[in-house]
Amino acid sequence: MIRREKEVIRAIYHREVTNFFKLIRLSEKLAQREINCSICGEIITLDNFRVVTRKSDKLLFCCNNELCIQNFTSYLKGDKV
Amino acid sequence: MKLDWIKFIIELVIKYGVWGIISILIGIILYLLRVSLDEDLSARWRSHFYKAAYKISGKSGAEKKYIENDISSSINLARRKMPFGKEHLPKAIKVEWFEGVEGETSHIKENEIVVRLDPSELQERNIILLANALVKQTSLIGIRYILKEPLEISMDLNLVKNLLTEIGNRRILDWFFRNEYRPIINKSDEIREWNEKIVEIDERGLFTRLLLVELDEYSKRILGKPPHLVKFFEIAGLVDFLYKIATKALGQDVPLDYIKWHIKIGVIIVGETSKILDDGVDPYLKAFTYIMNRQLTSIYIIQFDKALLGHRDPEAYEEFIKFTQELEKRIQEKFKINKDFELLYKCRDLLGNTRKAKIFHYIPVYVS
Repeated sequence: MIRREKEVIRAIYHREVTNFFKLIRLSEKLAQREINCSICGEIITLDNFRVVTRKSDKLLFCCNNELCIQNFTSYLKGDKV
Repeated sequence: MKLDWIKFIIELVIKYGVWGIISILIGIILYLLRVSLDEDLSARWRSHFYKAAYKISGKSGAEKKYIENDISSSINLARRKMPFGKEHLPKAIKVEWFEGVEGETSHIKENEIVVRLDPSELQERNIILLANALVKQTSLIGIRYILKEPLEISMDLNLVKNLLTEIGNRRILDWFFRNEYRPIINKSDEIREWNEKIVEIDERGLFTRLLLVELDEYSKRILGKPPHLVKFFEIAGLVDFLYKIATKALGQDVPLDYIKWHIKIGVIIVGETSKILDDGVDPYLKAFTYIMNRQLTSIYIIQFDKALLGHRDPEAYEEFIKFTQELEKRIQEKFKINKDFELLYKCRDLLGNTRKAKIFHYIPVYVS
């Protein structure tokens, strides 16, 4: 089989979101509504959580608002001129 | 389509009996061989299998396999239809499920995007989300730090749109246009203006076949250099230059070369059928000589056939094709150049007519 260069994107299965927060030890913060969307400030819940990344060793979260996702992924690409 | 195949198979068996059945079996073996050698096609089949398994069993394992194989096959097969010069754009995608050890947050790498996917019933949304992530992670590499956001967003949006169009699922496109494309371009006038330009360039087939090819070259030339507004204006100027070509009316004069510090390109358009039929290839060879004399680093020849010429006047059409072939041959003979690629495609002209087009990319070799 011919192998090509691939971009691996890691995904969280919708039934494993609770477990994901346990894995990253943020279940309590999530339950206490202390995690916010880095773009709009909305409180992140199990239902609206969409993307997470690490920036300067800090985990940043994004809610499932389409415009937030767009801004969030643009923001990851670093500083602009 | 499926009925045609069934009809064909029945006819084959009735007409040739055992030999018909043997031919069908050989056909099936060849197809299976092709599927097994093509990881995207095999992912497509795996997705069908796991979808059925999930519908029957309702098990998470089957749903995960379905989601991952369906996303990979949909995006990767679509990507193969998108030209990027002589290559494809963007890179292929592989979905991996997040599995970690408790407490080890460090396994989310710096700048890595980890996305939560929806249930398989909302697979369209998953595909759009990952198409977006793929485009952002793998295209415009090396120049994103220079681009101002409105232009960057416009290019990303159009790449995602093209990728989703190639998937060919109207529900995905409807969702994308309603929930992403329109709201994003309506966010600001600047995004709308850049988007209009990119759309026009794309409609003439010059977005992935010229603009992105040049930007990829550009990123190599500026590797390791700090961001500077001048660089953004060079890129913005290139977009404007191509926009003028893309919206050029018949007989209208527009600049056909763009010379800046890091970009030096020339374009020759073979679009007026009467011109090449009346005057032959000499005016185009003169234009090519002019470009070579200016020491440009990249030359594109874009040929647009008259949409209906082949139906209205087959002889003139034949003549046109003959001249364009002669032009290509004479360029190769006369100039010291490397041919990078030649791509045949269909596009829409300013009036919305479908036209056949061909783009050639040459890299001149200058002896100092």
